[in-house]
Amino acid sequence: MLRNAYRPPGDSGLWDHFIGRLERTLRVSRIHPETVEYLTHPRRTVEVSLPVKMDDGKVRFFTGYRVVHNISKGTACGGVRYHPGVTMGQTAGLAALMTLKAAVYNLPFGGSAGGIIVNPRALSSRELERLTRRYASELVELIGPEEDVLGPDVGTDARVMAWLMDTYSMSTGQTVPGVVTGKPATLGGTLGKDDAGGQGLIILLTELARRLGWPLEGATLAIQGLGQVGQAVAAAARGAGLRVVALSNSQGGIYDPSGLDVAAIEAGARLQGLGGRPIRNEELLALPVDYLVPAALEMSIHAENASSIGARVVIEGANGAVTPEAEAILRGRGITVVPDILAGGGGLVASYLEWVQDLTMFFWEESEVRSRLRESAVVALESVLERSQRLDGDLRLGAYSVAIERVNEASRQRGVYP
Amino acid sequence: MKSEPLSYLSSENIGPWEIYLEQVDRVTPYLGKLAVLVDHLKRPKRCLIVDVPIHLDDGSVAYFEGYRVHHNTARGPAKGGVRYHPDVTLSEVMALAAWMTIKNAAVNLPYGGGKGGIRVDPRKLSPAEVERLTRRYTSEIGIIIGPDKDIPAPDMGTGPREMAWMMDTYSMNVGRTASGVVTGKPIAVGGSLGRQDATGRGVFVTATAAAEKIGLPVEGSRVVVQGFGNVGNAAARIFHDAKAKVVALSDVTGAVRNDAGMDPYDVLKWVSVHGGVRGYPGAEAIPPGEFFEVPCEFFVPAALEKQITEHNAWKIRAKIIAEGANGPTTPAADDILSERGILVVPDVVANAGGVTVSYFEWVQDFNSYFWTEAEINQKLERIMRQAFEAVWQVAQDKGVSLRTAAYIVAATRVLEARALRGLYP
Repeated sequence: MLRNAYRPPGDSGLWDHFIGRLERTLRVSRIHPETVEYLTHPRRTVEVSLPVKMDDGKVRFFTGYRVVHNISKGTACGGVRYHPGVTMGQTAGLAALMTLKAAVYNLPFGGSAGGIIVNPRALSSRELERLTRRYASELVELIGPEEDVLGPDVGTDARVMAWLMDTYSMSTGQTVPGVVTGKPATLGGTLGKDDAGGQGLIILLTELARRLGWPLEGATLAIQGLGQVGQAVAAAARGAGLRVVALSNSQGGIYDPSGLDVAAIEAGARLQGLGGRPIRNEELLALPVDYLVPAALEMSIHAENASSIGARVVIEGANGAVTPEAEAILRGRGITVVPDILAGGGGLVASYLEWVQDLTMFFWEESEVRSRLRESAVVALESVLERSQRLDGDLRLGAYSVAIERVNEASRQRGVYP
Repeated sequence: MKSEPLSYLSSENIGPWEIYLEQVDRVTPYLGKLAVLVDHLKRPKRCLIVDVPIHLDDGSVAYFEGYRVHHNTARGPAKGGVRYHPDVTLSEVMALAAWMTIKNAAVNLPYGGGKGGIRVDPRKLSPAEVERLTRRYTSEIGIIIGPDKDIPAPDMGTGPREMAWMMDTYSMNVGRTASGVVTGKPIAVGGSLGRQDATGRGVFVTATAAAEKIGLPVEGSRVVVQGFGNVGNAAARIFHDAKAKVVALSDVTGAVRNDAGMDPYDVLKWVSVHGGVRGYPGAEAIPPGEFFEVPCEFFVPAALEKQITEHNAWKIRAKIIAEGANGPTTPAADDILSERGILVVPDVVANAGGVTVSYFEWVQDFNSYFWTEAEINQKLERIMRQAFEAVWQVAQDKGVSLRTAAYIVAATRVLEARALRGLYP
């Protein structure tokens, strides 16, 4: 059945993983064949060429993508990634994950994703701004607060979101903060968003621990990747009484079994100056910890290193952090995986709350944002846990099952246009 | 590079815009790195001048000059009133638009600044003529207004009636109900509760916040209110509700004093019958000159501009002056008050309750879901307190007056937004 699925050109890793996991879920979850077709074919894939005048006067061409995977449950919403490794397949895979994540959290969002093949650190700030504005201009007819909402992802930040918002607003002649999320608070961003991804992940971890009898106070945690999510996970873990024993970034990591000084990281200290024993990334993955959070890029846990994972529970901080092959190995070894579409929902919920505030232009206190985030995470967790237990399957299966059934229900109710 | 002066204002007679530019120059040294962007504040984003021809009731055609200025939209859509007055000029509308940018940013509302006006004495027109004037003006400026672009509101010479006409004209032009295009509407067409007392309530909230900072209890304190219009009587009533004593009141008809305190609700009844506070039996009449000398903790100028001058500033015996009116204190008086240690809560913060409830009206119009008056008052208090707190902090950190601090806070917020958004395209 899934042999009819969309085939992205070139590397298709993340998309293929999605299709594989979907196929596995369809063995236990009954959804309409039409919904399967919808899910296996992105609604829209766009590739744009982006000419940018560089600071030296030469014009360079970049390639950008935007994929809207599914809109059954509402406006598409998804990040924009600036990375040299961006492909259509990766973008389509991320867009599909957004559809599922929004459905797990029961948000009125469909899924989308976008990206540009570029190393943003190799561009000047001006060049990056021109690239961003050109990308927004190319997509201006396809995005909007009720069409497709953009947000930050790897390589993009609040500054890029501000440029996107400005370009869209100027092009349409009005102030439209709701076209992007992850904006600075000055421009209609929400309070409490910077660490929402990490907060959400730790809320899920602690709630799961409470329900499943996992260790909590003083339990050990290793984090791979110190981007926005990784940093926020570290800070939230400290707040929850967990012991962060290992951290790493692309340069390498540090390990101290008695716990690292996470507060110094929050204050902006460099990893290598924090004490602890230097370790390589591969060593970090093999540490005998209670919890491992891969929060770098996708596929950091794969068939080659899955057998050396030393944690009892792996929580996907990055989308697609664990490949299906690796997951099968972990399953065989009795290691629990908390899937991305559940574990990484905090960022999406914050985006949703920002969008709601932008639509009404009325802004909430940080405490209000936080309590709604917790509420959403707990509700999502309970529905996934209940489903996993009912299916006698893992959390991934439960999460996928909940998600595709919700998309299925929305598709069925809407019918086929026209 | 320094920007050229604006060619469309005659340099000999720059008018109120000049005053605004001087104010910007005064705060520029406090803006740090953002100071390089300050020209952004010194040039309005767009000025629209429109001809407004209407049929008069006698069948002849009269032509009026209308304006709509967007001073700045870095923080959100333009927002500001529409003034009907025979002396309206482009320079005045530009300055008023700029002051809206400052006020909206000082209170941290997601708005830029705008203003509009027509050179007309509305009292010389019949209601039907004012309606035709308002509808034609709305159509002419229709290309730049809208709930996400620019949201007009009442100002001198306009009120809820004109706002209803503007809302209707715009809605008819775009073919849908667009109640969020103007604020200050009647409740029946999407107006907000709590608007009537909003400015007076804001004066009370910010004055109270200031009092907390200097350890001054409101309960049992004495309050003097100049002006018993919309703002003054609301402020007097709300102070009275908080168990402060209203010891002196004045309006155009005269001034009254009672050191034991007056009941403003009772005064209001008297005023509604007799047209002014003069002769109010629960107090004694005092000459206008003495009014400024009445000992008190709170002095609320809520009448016209330039009421506290170098001639009376040294007489005022208050701890806190909360400016309910726009520009009631002259710069010379400001210096005297600051020397005498009297704390002035400046107009851009103190009387921003009105625009804040305008903001609530707009938010409610987006949702088509309306809040209770209690909800509105609670949200108003929260926003006004936060606004005051931010200004107070800057005043403490930089050792400047609250007025200067309010300008620093506002200019910083606008230029920060400008820096974040970058220069389009």
